[in-house]
Amino acid sequence: MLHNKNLRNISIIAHVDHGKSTLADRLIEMSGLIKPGEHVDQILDSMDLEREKGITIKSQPIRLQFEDLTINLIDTPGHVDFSYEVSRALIACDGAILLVDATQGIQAQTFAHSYAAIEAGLEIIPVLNKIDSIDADIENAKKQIFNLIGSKENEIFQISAKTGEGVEDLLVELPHLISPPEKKIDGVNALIF
Amino acid sequence: MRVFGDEIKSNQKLKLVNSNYSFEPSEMGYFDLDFVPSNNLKTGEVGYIITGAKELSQIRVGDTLVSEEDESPVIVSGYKEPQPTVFSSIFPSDSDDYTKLRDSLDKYVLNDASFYYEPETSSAFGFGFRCGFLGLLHLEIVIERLEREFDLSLIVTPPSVEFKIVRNNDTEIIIRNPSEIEKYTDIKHLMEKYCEVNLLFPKEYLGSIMQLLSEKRGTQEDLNYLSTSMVKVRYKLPLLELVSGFYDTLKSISQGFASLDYEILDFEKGNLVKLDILVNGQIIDSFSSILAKENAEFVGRNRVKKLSELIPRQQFDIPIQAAVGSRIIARETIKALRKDVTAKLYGGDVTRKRKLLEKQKEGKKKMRQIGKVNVPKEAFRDFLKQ
Repeated sequence: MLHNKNLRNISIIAHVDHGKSTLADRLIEMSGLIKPGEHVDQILDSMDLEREKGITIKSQPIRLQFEDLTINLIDTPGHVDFSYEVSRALIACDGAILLVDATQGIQAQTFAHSYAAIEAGLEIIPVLNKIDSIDADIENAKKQIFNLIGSKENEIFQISAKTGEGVEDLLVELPHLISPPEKKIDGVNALIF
Repeated sequence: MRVFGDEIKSNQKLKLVNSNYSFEPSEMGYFDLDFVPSNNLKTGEVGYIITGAKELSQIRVGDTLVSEEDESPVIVSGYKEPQPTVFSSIFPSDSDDYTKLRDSLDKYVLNDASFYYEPETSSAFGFGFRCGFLGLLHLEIVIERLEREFDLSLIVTPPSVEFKIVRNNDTEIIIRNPSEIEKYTDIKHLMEKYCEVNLLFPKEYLGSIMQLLSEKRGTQEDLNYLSTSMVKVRYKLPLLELVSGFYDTLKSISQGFASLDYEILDFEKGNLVKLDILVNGQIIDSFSSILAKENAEFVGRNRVKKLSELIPRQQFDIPIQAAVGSRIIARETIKALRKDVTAKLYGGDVTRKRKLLEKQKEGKKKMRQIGKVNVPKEAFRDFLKQ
């Protein structure tokens, strides 16, 4: 039986190629839905073209079960053409993982999407990705995140979605950082997104 | 969908508020790797619902789902509707494929609601469609999917945007195709869409990027340093400039380091002209475009030059011209093929030679008056490719 207090609706937002779909892949693996190495990359991108170009076009939700915690995860596209897909996903969520590539720092869509998430009233979890890369400039990226949303150093997660490093910590903290969905309206009411 | 109110049960009668479509769900549940049916969706859940609706228009993204007897439903605030910003015409390479293209588009739009299309006819390419896309990447993806999934070979015109015509009586008309201008004779002025672009890039590229932005008719609104190395600028830019090669140029002058985000603003009055391309005095409608007056001459010259290299020589001279209104701003001539009519002469007076050449000239002149230029489709297609 599902309890609301054990439910979290989260989307992943970031600039193009900062690793959203890769992080989604890692989280799916950790939920045990699929075993590592037994699937293609970008599990949630069902179109051939999405995989071929390495981009996400459609927002795709998936329900993940971690013991008694349920996470509805929504992977979003990063490209500016599809930012309406992001706005769709944000409405359905209570929190967002803001992923920033440590090698590139903040980019234009990082700005646009995090503002959209703030406007939608979402809690934002800043996460630095690709920390295993030799080009990673973690300090600089952290400073930029602080300037953007005011997160303190120790509030910023450091992960590598590719190797899976740090993703476990992120997952443990997630339910404490984002509140469970509340009933906002009396009676039957749902939004098609 | 996302549940904001009470739990929804699968045996409940439901209604979509905007389309006023009532139904009993045939199935509902969660997203796993697949659809996982469930007999209820609790408060706060994200899941799916299958309605059995026959018409796509009955179910719109952004609609609110309530119980059927709910008389005063609370509407959950929506989000921005996807608006097509980039417009381009597509034609089948083989005009016999028109029906196939139409059927394919009808099918395609079912799983991409942001795509828009309407029929169009062109003198160069025959029947086709004027299509609207969310952006350049979307255009590329749609074309690739159409070609791949529906096995089509397509001709695609260069991307353009919407314009607004303000008529003398102050009524406004939005046009998505430059050739629509011809329908109106009482145009007071043209308006074009603007957008606000945000650019982030390392400070080394500041000079060249600002130069590019001003070349593209941008006006600066904001500039600040995010850190000692990163700069963020905000510019107001005509949307037309953004879709015509801005992104590629930006990436190349910044060596890939600049990133870009934009938001569409409203129409504003612009100094715009319609540039026509004429082959042998005939306007080729698919090549007409609306652009900034200051760019017209440069673009016109380029297009004429390109096209003159692609059209094969004929029996008579063909002028290729670029025109703004009735003023010709550029011209190239494709020289006629000529037989060496003086070959049989072995000497004698020069007047004998002159006579033969005069006769040939006469003939070419006559041909020109009655002749029609048969431009192969391939020439037009190659022209668009460049």
